[in-house]
Amino acid sequence: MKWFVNKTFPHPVLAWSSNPVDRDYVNRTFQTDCHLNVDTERHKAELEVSCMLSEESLLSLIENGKARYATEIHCMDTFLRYLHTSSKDNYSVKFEKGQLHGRVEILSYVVCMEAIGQHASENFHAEFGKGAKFNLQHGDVLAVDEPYRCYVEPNAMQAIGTIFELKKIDKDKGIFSIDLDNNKIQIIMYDDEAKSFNQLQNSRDKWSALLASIYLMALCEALRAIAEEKGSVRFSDYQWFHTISHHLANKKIGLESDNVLETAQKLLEYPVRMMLIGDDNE
Amino acid sequence: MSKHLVILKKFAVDKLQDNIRANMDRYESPIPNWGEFFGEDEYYRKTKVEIHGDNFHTCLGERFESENILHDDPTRCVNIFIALQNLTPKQATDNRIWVYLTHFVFWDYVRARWPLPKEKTKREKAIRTHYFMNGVRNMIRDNAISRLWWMAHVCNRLKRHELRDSLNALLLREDVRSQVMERATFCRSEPILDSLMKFMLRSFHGNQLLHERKPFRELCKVLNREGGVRVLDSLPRAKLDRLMEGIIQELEFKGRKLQPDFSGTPKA
Repeated sequence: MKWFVNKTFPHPVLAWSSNPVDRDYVNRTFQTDCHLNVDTERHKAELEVSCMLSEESLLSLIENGKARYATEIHCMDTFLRYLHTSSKDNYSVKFEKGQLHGRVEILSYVVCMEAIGQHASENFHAEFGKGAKFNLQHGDVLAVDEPYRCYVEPNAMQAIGTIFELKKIDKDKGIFSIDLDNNKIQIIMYDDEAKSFNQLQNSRDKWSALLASIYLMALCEALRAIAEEKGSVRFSDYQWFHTISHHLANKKIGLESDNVLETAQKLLEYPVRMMLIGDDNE
Repeated sequence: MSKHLVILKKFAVDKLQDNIRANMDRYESPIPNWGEFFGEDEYYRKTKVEIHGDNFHTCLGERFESENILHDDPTRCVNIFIALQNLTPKQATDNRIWVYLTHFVFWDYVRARWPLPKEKTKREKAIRTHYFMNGVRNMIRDNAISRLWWMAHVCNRLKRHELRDSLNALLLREDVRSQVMERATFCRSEPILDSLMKFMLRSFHGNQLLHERKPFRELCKVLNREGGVRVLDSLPRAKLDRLMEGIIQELEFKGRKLQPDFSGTPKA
């Protein structure tokens, strides 16, 4: 199901809202905590969900088996849509190798599991009328939390390759630029320079030089922008932002404006050394 | 022939895509000689994905006379899916696989199935669409080989229906295929599509009225509406089937209500 903030239903639904008084249930909440743990070696993933529900009438329905916690997982790239339901407020969902890739959206609910007549609660918003009762049917949404989005990437080197794309233009010879307002970081350069850039990626020696120069500079630009926009959501819809955030978290790096160059080199696994000395692991 | 799937390197995909115009003679030729185009460059590598069976390069057919080129798509979907049964969905999003297969393995099939437009100005776009893969929509709809695998993958997930049968019902009409494969919502849901396929199969083997454009689109609209307010995936199969049957009973074609058993003379 696609969720929209302004969606309304013919019955009360406990949905998130910045103002608790606007909710269909007054001063009651339904919140979930989701963690998608990815095993990059075995290419498997496990989603852990923890639900917190404070509305007594819904807790009672769950206890009696008439409602369940439910989490819908969507992965557009792999054509996956899966619903997991549980009577418990903590559960996990396992994904086999290769089921998830790219952007994953997770939506958690409390869902009605059978027809229920005359559902009532003391905490319904006054606009429903005093003593209001509602008939519910199997599949009705009773509570919903804000969607959670994340990205699943296979490994660092592949991820770095996937966050950049090359764009050719027919002006500004000798000067390349970066555009961050896309799903991938665009490296923009003049036509014949771009063609040469593509060809150089085939050679191992030249690839390490590209990594230590153009990719390193492009990544610095992106990291600087993230550091300067800390707390804002400007880049939160872009895949590159989530990939970088994931790797910063994995490497336990705290990004600040004054450590951008060092951070970029860590994320690219020391490209300057690779170019000058070679691979220490060979 | 390698028993492991071969893919192009990224630079090779980019180089092919950047040189479509320059290579137009090759795209017009039955023998394109792509090895000559890449020269000394190592443009491909072997993966760990094992190919099932011995005749991969002929699994889509060896001769493509025009009268059978379209009708055999269900068979081709099954064959490519069986051959690449070890491919995961994540791996199947990789354009390096499909660009390799369109250019190096199934060249004759792609040329026959998606012949270049007569107008030369439209050829570059057609090549980008069917020989390359850019984005999810292109992957499931347009690339000549990836679309076969993905249609089979979606139908293979349906627990109650045999793969070949489902593909026959899916591919009977282009509009039906498009509605099922390109809607991002309910059709990615295995329980909902499984229930829908039950009736698509009845229609396929019966009077095929559900496959008509107007009733099928109307069915999709109503399902989307229902799915927008209820978590349909939480319903057991029997309830989903009843819901689907109820929707179908309200559909009309040329002034007549559809019957969920789709009995009557099949359309010619």
